[in-house]
Amino acid sequence: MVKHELTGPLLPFSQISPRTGIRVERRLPSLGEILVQVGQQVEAMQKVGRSSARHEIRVLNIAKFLRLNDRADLSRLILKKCGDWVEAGEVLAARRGVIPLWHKPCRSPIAGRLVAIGYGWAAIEEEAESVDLLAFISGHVTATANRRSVMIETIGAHIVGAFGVGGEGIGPLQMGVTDRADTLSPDNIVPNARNTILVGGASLSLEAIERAAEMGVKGIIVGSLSASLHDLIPTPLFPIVAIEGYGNIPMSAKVFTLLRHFEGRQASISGQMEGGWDNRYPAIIIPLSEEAKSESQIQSDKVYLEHAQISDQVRAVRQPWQGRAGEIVSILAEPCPVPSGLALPGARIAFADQEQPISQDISISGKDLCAAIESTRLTKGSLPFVPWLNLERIG
Amino acid sequence: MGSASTSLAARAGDLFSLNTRSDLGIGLSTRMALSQIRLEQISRWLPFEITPSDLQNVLLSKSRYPTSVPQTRQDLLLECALAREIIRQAVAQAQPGWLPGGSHWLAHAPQWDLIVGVGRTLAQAPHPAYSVLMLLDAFEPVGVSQVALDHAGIASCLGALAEIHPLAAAEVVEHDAFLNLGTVVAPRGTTRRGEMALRVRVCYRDGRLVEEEVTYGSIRVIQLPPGERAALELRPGRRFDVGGGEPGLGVIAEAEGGILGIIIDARGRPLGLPADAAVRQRLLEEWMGSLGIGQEDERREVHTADG
Repeated sequence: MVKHELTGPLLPFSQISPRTGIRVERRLPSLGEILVQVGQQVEAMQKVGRSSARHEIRVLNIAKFLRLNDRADLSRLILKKCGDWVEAGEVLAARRGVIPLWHKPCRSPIAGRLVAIGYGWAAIEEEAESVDLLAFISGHVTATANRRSVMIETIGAHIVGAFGVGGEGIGPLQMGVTDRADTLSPDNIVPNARNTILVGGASLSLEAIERAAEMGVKGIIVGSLSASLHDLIPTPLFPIVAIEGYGNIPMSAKVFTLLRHFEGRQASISGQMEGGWDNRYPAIIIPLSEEAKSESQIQSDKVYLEHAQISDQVRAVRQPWQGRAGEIVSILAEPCPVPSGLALPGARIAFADQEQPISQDISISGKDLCAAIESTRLTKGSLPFVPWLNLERIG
Repeated sequence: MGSASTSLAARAGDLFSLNTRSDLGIGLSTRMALSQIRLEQISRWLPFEITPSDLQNVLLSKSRYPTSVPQTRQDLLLECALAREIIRQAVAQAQPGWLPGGSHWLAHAPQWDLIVGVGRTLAQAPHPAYSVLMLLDAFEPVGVSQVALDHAGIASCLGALAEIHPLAAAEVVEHDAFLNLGTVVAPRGTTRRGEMALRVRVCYRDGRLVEEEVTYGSIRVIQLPPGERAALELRPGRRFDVGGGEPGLGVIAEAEGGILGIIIDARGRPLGLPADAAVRQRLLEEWMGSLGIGQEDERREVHTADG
């Protein structure tokens, strides 16, 4: 007899992996200098590139300043030529009159290079500051491109969060709470939290963020972040990564256990995210460099291009199961109604982080068509149904 | 109304106006929508209490996972509430554009022959009554209007087809492109709650007659199955105008059937919501109940499904 099992659709994939190949591209904001070579081992805090920050061009209306007509020819009035360096406050152009003090000279408001002179105006490119690009993760350089980017690879734990705020942070992981449902409070942030990446539980308070800033914490990982709090801290001093999303959702047991396992290890976290189609989300990377050395080949991140199947690990992304991770135990052949009234295709999930009585009663009500046509592997009874649209695959 | 943008296309005589807001949507653009719409504006459409923070959390979760669907009734009503406000924003922006070619009446008390809801939130709600309520609350149409949904998601394709083969597009629209929900009758005006707003006489093709007296502040549904037509005799109260041009003037109209039938929206125009939260929530639940999607209806359905 041929065993036939239903499969689900392709699900969005979110990385929660204790050990995987990780590839990170580091990009300079503009063309610059790459300071490392292919094959070189780098540390997270090591500089791998340097470039000038984006230059600001200031256009000066010299004609207006010197009380000339709008399209006045400045060639006989301007004291500098294109390409010359000018200091802030240095005289740029002056009108020569019969009475020398009658006309004020036009001075440069900024230090920079004179890049263009037109009729009545001149443009100065501001002095640029140098920007150093850090490796962000410990690993080895596998590629560099066009004085612009560096590819670094390593083996390690990789967790993608639902959303984040702030920039990047590097430091050893430290558990701030003992339970994944706890809220990180100021009391949990002790003096030895300085320079660490602190792991909270479900959420955190504004006071905890302020306390963490005082203590010099390098980053915080929590289950979720309240949207109202998010608005209060648009650009915190350190990154905050929320694993499950908005609200007050306990961190999934899988992630909490993983982070606790790696307590003390150096982690790199990024709270940056791009909206829209860019699909870039905050990440936590814990390089396991000693393992990388022992492996000749590093496998890149696994990309799931298979349809969802029974026993796949998934995470629910909407209420009432938002943030809970578990395993697909059965796939329904027909759309099933949910409390909102929608009837949708989906699967029954055994969530790992909550008690779920698995019914031993295999009798199925004749009215429950969905249950009657299920392709099951287990007796699932009261296992929750989640539509495919509200699931993402994890691994 | 889509995940990233909301478009409002309107035609009245020679006037055609198209307004697209790429910053308003239920999904990808929810964050931008929330930066323009106050949370109280959204929560006033909810028949339950919710903190601003929880409201934001649910809606921003939708923005993080734009393809996700509301699994609970609460999430569904939250999305519907946001949808109302998004459309209201789009209408407020489009209304000045309706003035030049159209009439003053159109801009200030829109009398639409046909309103079509497009996009998943509108067209694929679990019950068509959710869609009708969203459209009525957002557009506040006056007079007699037909309401339909683009349940097959075909409207934009037909728009493209119309460019090269207008007749083919028109034929599809004429036959089965849209899901006809029914005919809405909405008088303009206000009075004290409980007073008579409109007397309706429905003359079915088979000779049957149904007479209803609808009080101000309520919604009533009269059966008229899809494909059927009926003559409507509308006699508004002295403070109400049902499209006749002045209050109290009777109107004869024709209603086309739909899956909901004839919906008498006697909540008045402009549509006002009580300031008291408890009263407002009870009223919202009552309106939903009139259309068969109240909390009690939902409970009964769940009970029936459970056997």
